Amino acid sequence: MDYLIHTENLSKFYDVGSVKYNALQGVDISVGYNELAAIVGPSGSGKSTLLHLIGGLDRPSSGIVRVEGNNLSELSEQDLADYRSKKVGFVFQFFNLIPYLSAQENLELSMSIARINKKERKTRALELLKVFGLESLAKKKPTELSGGEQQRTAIARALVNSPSLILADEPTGNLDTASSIVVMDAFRELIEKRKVSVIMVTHNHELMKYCDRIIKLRDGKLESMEIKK
Amino acid sequence: MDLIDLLSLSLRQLKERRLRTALTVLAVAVGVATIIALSAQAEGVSSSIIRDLSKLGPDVVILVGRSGYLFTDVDVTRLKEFEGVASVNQLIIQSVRVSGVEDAITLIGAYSSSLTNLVGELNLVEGTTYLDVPAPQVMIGNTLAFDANGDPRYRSGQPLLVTIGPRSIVLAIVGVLESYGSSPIIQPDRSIFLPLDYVKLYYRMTGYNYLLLKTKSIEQVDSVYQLVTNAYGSKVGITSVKQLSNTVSSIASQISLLLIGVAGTSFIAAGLGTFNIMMISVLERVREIGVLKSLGMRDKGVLTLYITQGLLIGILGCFTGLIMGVGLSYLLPEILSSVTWTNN
Repeated sequence: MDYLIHTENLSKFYDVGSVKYNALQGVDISVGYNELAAIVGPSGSGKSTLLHLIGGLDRPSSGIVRVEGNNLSELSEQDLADYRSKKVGFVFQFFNLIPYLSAQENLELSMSIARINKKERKTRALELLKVFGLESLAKKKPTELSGGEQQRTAIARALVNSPSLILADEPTGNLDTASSIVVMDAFRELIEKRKVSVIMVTHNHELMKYCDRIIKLRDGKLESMEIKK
Repeated sequence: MDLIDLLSLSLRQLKERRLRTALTVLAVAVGVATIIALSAQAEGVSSSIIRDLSKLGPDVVILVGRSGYLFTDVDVTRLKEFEGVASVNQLIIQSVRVSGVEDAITLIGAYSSSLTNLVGELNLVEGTTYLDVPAPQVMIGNTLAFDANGDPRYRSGQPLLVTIGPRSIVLAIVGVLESYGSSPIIQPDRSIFLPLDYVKLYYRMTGYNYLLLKTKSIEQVDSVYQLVTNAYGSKVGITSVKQLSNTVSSIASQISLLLIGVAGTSFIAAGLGTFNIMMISVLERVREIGVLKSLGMRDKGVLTLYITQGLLIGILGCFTGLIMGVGLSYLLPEILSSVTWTNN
């Protein structure tokens, strides 16, 4: 079977003073195309570290992350930046929208980093905001939006460069149940309509019913990987 | 991210922290303005002094008799024969009191033909130059002729009561000089000019306490200076305008360097302040930097973004400082002169 993501013996160590902290140790996981995968586990189990390594925000201490067969460790800094810009979209727990930019400008910023021309940026940003029902809020600053609206804007921002993978770090962690369901429905719709894969870190066991694959981590090690479909 | 997007994002970030940005820009501006204003003052003072000195001409050498030494007509004849000397002007300079004027006034006894060598172009508000005869005629400086309000105190044709030592004499005013400003050796505005023969007669002097030598060319100033030094040794004090100008230039350069150093320190402080603010900005925006990186920005791009912000603050600060500095350069002399006037 072809996987979108495949890790081999993936490890990440951090030096905290004179102590070596093992955030991730020999993790082998796979995520297929058009899947919604959840990474679960207690705090400090290495969930976010794994997400950052898959997203190319950090480099592994040892082991390999393959995305569509390509080893991320072999990419130059420029190629890794291009990978983050064009292949991956990030969604965070606290939305992390740029506070002094409007919803539309937040989407356009992502495209300006990807060097997409100005006219195209505007068209695409408005299109996506419309998809998420945020068209009328395009000129609003993040502080003028509700939590749910902010998270939908963040998801729209993650999608502007048409990535094949969405990485979400506790995307519903700061939302109420109703908004969480809206976000999860949005993820499922993205997988079906836009053919993307979503990997999300979550503590919320209720959301696992939406997922195709559950990756359980404990103390930086893979505890289990359950495939539901 | 292209340059326009980078500038736009930098400006938005600076705009978000308006007060902090404004204060940082102001700190840079103050540093720049201080450098400009102080350099301008130092340069202005130096130019002003050199301009005043130049009124005598760069080819002038001034001799002053020390310990009561008076130059005689024999000295004058001897000096005229020195190689490089074009003319010798005899002067008697004394301090006197004038009725109605509180401060001491300088009395200058000189041949009328020497006056242009002494004060440059001779311009009169009224009257004429005195005649070179031993008669009690006087030309008076502008400050004496007019009071602080510009009202005439003395006019041409009026008598002037002058106290010289224990005695007082009455002189006839024949002319009033235009305002002249400062000059080396004497202040024409606060001086009275009398025929040399009359002063000699009055003081019963057989010589002159000052001589003003004109050299044939500026290049010969140093050689004439040397000849006079060899001939008179310590009996005579010798000063050349060229030497004075050099001394003033040297002092002015040192003062200028000192002032620029002081201003430079404030500029460095402003620079460090800007650096500090940029560091704080980066620390405050760690999360935002993380987001930018997750959106595909490289470390270099993030660095460029913050350097651009520092540059924008620097450019804005320099431009503001330039305007403030030019304004201050004009204002400072006014402020300083008003402070000096208040102290007086």
